[in-house]
Amino acid sequence: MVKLVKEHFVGVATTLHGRPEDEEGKFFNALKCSWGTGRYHCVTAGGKPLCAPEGDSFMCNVPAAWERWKALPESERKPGAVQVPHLKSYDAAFPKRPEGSIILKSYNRILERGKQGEWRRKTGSVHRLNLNQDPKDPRYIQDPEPGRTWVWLDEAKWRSLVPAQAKVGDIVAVPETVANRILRLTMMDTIYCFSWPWNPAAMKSKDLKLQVTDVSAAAVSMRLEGSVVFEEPKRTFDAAIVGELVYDVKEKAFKKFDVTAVGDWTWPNREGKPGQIIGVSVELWPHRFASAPYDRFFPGYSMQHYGYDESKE
Amino acid sequence: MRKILIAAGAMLALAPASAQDAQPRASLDLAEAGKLRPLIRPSENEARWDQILWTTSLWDGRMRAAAEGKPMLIWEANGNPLGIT
Repeated sequence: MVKLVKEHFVGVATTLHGRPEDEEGKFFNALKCSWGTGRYHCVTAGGKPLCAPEGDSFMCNVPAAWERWKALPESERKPGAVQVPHLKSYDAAFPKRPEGSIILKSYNRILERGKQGEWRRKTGSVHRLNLNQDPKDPRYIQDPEPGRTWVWLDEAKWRSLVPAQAKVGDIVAVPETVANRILRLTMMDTIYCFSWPWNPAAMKSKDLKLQVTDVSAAAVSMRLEGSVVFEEPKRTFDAAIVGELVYDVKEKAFKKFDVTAVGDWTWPNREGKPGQIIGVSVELWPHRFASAPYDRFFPGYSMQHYGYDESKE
Repeated sequence: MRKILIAAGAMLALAPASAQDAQPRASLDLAEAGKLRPLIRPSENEARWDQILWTTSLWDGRMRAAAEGKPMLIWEANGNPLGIT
């Protein structure tokens, strides 16, 4: 199906948390599709659903939608046949990614040790708890892929990590707001599905040290080292952290923002209480998903629906 | 709770709480992180949906679909499905 979508569809990824109060929102609402988490629907640029009669089922039959598309008259599918103008105005109140911000993309995966002590991915049928961490409702995933989260750092936050007069050996203070944002939103297990950001009170300890390791006319390199311990009644994570940040002096931008963590993840309520080792890898993400003139909903908006209050960082 | 101890260049093991409590926490080093990163991040055969160049604006997607003569596939979730948060 990926091949079919890559070749013949325009992919739109969005969230069900609200609609903008503008023409885009009106178009969305007029589609009358049955939305829900993980669902997808195929529609024309003119707003005609292509998933009927299975349009209300959980998943649209994409190959069938493609056949319906091909059966439409040329007047509905020829390039340029449908005119969609640029929006004259956008819903100003609708959340958008701050201008000048950077995106950090984070992966989390279950790891284990091999017989020789080497790291490897946990494969096979792997236990997870459901979203509510209910031990009576376990889930199993075959050869789980990594979970992922996104975090943006606004310009003031990422600039706060750039030393003004860097010298090798300098310690750069990591502001609490920056450390908390990165740690609470990336040191997570989203392997089964989405999850909730760590509550501020869950951070039982945190130790992050950012040190300048190299300075040249072109770049400032820094090493991040430390650890974090999160504890909530239903989940805990105790991780060691290391990272490498490289700031491009000429471009005035980070060109590397790699952070790696590994640690014990436990579910205290789970019967027998066996934990797992979770590895986290954070990287700077190029602005690939840009949707001019702004990034609607993405990334970072939905976290506010799950207890992350930016105003209290 | 068990905690993981990581020592550079040494074989690492999960230690029981009693043993762990007696030892200072060691740090994860960049060499070890270099081994972990490719294990954690997706392989080429994973996350195949990520090969699709998604747009996050329905309107932008609509304009593109009209201009290119293609239908849209709209994917929705609790949080953007590309990255959840």
